[in-house]
Amino acid sequence: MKRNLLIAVVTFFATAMAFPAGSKESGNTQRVVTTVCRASYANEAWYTKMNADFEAETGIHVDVTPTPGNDDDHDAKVNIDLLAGGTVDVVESLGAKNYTIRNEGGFFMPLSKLVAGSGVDAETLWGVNLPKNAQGEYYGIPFKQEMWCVYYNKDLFDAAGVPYPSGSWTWDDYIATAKKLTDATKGVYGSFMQADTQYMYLPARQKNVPFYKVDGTSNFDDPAFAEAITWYKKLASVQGIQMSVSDLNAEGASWNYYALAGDHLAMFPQGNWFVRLLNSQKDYPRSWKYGVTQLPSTGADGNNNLVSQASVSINKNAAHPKEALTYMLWIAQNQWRYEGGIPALATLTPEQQNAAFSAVASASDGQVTVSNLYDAMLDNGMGVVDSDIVGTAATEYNNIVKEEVSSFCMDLQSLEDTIAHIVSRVNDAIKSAR
Amino acid sequence: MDRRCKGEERTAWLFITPFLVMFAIFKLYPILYGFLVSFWNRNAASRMMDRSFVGLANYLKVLQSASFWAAFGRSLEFSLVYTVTIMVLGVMLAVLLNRHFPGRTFVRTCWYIPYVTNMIAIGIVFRYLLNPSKGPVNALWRVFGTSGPQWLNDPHLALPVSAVIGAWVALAFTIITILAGLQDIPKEWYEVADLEGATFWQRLVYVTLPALVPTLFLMLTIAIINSFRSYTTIVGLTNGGPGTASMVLSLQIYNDAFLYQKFSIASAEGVLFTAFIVLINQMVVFGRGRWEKD
Repeated sequence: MKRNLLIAVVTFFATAMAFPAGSKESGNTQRVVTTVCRASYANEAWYTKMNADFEAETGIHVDVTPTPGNDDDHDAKVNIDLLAGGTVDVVESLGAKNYTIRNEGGFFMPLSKLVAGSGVDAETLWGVNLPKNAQGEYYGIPFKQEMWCVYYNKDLFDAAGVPYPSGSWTWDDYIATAKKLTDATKGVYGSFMQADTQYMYLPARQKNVPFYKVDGTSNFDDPAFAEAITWYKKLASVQGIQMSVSDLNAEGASWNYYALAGDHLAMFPQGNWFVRLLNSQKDYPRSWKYGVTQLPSTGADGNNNLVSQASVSINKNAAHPKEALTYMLWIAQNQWRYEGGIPALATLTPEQQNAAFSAVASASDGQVTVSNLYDAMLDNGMGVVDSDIVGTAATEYNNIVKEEVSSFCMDLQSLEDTIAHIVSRVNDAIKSAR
Repeated sequence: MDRRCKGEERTAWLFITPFLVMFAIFKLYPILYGFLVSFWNRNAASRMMDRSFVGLANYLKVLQSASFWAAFGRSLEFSLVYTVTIMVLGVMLAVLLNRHFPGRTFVRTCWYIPYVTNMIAIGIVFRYLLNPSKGPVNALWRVFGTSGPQWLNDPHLALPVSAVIGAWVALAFTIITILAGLQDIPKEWYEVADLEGATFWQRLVYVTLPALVPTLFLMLTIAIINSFRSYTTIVGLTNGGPGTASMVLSLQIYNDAFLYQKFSIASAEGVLFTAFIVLINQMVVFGRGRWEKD
């Protein structure tokens, strides 16, 4: 009896170990394409509908794996999967930084011949937005652009009797407006900027000051960066218009904080992707109304908006390369119709862009209009510069700036030490990466 | 060896084989492979297939890196606070919970709850409790007209506070083990002490603690090892911040490997860190040997 029981137990475990994943897709002959997405996308109606429409049009089922966690977690998980030779077919890279890291890692298929073979004229459709290298090859197709703007809480403006901002303005104007809106007794702040790197170097970036010197080392010792991080610190410590870095950390003010706590935060500079959260009453119920206007400039020498391009690529180890090509080309031409953002199509007409914005305006229930969105992001008289650090050891560069500037903002180190630490640590990282 | 013994040996092998196979695949192979990687140059996404031997270059880079030594120092600080907290509280609470009082089983169960709770969930709860402006802990300070400490937000407090919370979570295991040790102490020893008129403290110092020494050395070894595996505690509470104030070595190794794709550097850091932990534990073993000899 004991012996039989033992054999039964061992057989059970041996079987369980041999077939741990079951028999997924056995006998299923449907064409499939696999992709990964941020967890926040997975349950959004536009994302589900987009994939359902693709399936209806092509007969190819989209198998989506959402990754839990924030953007950094998602990017790290995707990178690890690609490093490990994962066979997911299609990968979206938000921002030039992620695209560059993955492309330099050799994770993507070269696309020029594949796209030409499919009959799609990439040069006409995406023009200068195609991320071509010196040899004219590209490994991703841009499917959207994130333009920065300022979201504001109309209720707080109304309560303070301050007119809504519109048209071109400078950061001095922004600070003056924010001061009128700040009411410390009620915990109301005129401005909200997370303790994130892009805010810490924002004015320097608008002046298009490069992150790297010609020899490839860190350029963070350029005086423009010292000026930028001092400006960022003083928004809280001197101007008093926003929470300090310490308070932001205590609050856990993350990527979606303004959508959750914007009732006491008057203005928030961010990319146009954020409008999705403000229009989602289901996930982010709000009692206040929002508006949108263009990003302030630093003046004539820094009249640039920040932009970040997202691209879609095919994994070189893709399990379904044919389906991946079909899906990638479809996404690059159609995602904007569902997400309602700004596509990277060179052929886009103002009417098409307005159609995309009208979906956003309609979802906002009258809080913003098509012309508000168009004026804020596209017809703002500003040039464009990349919002991210793009280059050698970019992720580490980004995190080092965040860590050191946070310490500076909490008065743990001087400005000189902060710059010296950043330059020295980043140069070490660059040296190591080379 | 008779047939019965041989049969039992076969059965024993049958039971341990799945463990050995899993251990070889999921522990031994990664350890050996990681050691090998520390001698290669896989320090960028584009060099993941690179197998060129670079000797001790990664180790030299690590040993010359200021951020490695800073993170190492923070790991030592975390370990010190964690180990002292867990050992002192572990002994005190085990002695208290060994006494008879109403509701003893309930209290013992309560102490065990944090041990089986997800660390990220604990992190969320503590971040709320210790929130300087909205948390209930600082609300007590405000009653007395002061804002109170910044806890996880204070660069000088974030690390020790995280260590104390980490120790609190793991305390149950220490308490239970020491409780088992306490119950192994012969009752006669206490009866003799009572006859001699010993006080509670005299019983503790002259009977309980000497009898517990083997258990305490075991718990000390486990506490030291666990203190250096502080990754989850730190990620759940501070994620290395504010600034780099709580960036311990285990988190830095993770970031170097999975965020920055510097796998060879991370492997070298891991090997050095492991060697240090082994060294510390050898010192504990040596200390125990000396104690038993004396």
